Amino acid sequence: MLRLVLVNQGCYASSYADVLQRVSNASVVAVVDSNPDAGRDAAGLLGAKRVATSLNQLPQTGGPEFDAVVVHGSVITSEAVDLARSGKHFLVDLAIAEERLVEQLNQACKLSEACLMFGQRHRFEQSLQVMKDRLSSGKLGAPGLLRVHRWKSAGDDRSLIQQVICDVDLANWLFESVPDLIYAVAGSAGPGYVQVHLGFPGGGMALIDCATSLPDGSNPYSAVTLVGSTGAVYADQHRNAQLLIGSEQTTALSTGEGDRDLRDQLQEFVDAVEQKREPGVTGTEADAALRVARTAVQSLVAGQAAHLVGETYELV
Amino acid sequence: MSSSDNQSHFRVAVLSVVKHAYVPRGIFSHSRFVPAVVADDADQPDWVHERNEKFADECGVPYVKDVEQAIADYDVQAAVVSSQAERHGSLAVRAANAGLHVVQDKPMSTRLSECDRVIEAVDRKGIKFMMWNRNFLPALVHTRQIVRRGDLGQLKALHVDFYFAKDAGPPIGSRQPGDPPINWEETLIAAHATGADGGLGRDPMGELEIEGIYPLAYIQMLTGVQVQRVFARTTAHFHQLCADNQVDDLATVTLEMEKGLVGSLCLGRIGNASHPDIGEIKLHLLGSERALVIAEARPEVGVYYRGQPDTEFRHVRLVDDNNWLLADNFARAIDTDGDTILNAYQSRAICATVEAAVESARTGKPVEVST
Repeated sequence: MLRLVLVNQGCYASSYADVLQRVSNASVVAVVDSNPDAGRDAAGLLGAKRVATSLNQLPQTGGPEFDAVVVHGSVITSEAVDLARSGKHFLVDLAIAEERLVEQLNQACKLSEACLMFGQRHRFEQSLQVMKDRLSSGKLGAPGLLRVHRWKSAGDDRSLIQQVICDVDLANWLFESVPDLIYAVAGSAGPGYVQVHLGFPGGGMALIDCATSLPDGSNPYSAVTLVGSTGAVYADQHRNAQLLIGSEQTTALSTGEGDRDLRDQLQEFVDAVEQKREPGVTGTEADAALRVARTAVQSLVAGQAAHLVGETYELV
Repeated sequence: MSSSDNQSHFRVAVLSVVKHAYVPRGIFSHSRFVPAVVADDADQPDWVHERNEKFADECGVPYVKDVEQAIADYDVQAAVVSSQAERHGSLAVRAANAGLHVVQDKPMSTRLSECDRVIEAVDRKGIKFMMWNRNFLPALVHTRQIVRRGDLGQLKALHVDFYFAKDAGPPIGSRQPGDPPINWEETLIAAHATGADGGLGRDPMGELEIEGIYPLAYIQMLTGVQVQRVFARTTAHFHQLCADNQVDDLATVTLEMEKGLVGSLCLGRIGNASHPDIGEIKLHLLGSERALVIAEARPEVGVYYRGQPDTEFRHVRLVDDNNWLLADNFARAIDTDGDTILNAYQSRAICATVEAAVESARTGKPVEVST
């Protein structure tokens, strides 16, 4: 049984409380949250006995030992690295990953032989699992084009890098490569909007547009299409819309995929630790996605395309 | 009031109809337009004359192997051009010089200089020009209503997917060692039987050049602004024909437009296996107040039955009045001295966008669109 500490789960605490019932060989023993009230609420939901406001505080809280740390919100790098050096396994949300954290956690986990996985829920969405499966089994032929629309409501104050990094990783994962060409624009749709154009070796291409400008209260929308040389997958929310019919208007409602991706991601982490194998999203992959996302922002600012020259991206 | 309420007729010369007979047929679906003659140049090859003659027979009009003579003899007021692509501009200019209003098949031309010649002739003679397009499909009419009503607020971004599910000969990688490259013109001539001959002509054309007009015409209609800068990626991913002739069958284009509007285009001839119908064609619009997702195929009805051939579409499009509405728009423009839904300047801008995209794909750099 893997004993977990959940860090800064915020609104995800109730989701974890739900999915943990269906995750094998894992339990939450502690919650860390910079907001003590939120931490206590989350611990109540998750049945955790220990609550702290930082990772450093954990030793003082007493209670059962823990094996792994699951991080959703921001975390102090030095505290995380200390725990990784001591052999604690880490699952860190890719969307919060910044360069220093990725690099130092990578090094620390390698030294202590701890498992380091980056959380990237898109890879675990069932629709995209189907996409990957059909691609890997050869049904789609060689991947040619990935199209992603990812729209959310305003109020999401993530940086541009945080907005695009998970879909950049999705593209890298599907093309099994890193792009050799990057171009990004925002126009007057920004801030809160970015459009990233990627070229992959062999002619593959991806277009990703991420918006955080839908009106407050809007449901998120996503559409992901992969066109291969012999087939295509359309993972499009538009296809999964239902109708609510009223006297004034008919409204489209989405029957979504729920939190199954969160469950499958956590299960993958638990299994990887137990089986002492590489997890689904490695530090190397996170580092690659981070580099591409960072270069996309540089391209956006410079109005130039970036080409991969050797190991580095250069604006041309 | 539709222009069909006006009783005057336009006699039409069809100047070469070697690929898309649906263009003249579409014009003739409107009661104002009457076929008068089919004409082409005498020096065209036999297969061109055969197709022209067949269409003339279908319409019950003469076929004349002399364009200028036909225009002079048959009292025509309009021309429809659906020749090989490299002849589009020349035939349109000749028709315009004779004072005929012109409807033209895509692309406007394979060269921007030809587009400029068309514009010059259209302006000088004061005639109406319309590029054939899909802007009056029901979903596009609906989209335009929504945008014009202001439901989205200020339009910020617009994306079009235009995946056209038709094959274009053998799949990529199928050429055996020692086999010659596939000949473009011969293959496209043969493709007439399946209607997959949109790129018919001497010069090979990529899908951006062949089909790019449709999504770019959507964007033009919905935004009313010019594309200023593009960044594109293209490849031959599906068909040996495209690989052998160094043209694209898959493309992505980032569009930077006037007023800070951004957008994108994903386009490809993705093959029959990749979609059960004509293809996945969608629009994603992001406004300051709302967003909109549109499936171009709707409304449609699903039809499935035992023994259904693979080549039969499972979803049948409904209430498609695009042809008649285009013809009506053309007639109305002539009647009122107004503009057509896709005039010569807008068509030229689309060709310039495509040309810049091809150049961007070649260089890996963003390219300014020629104005």
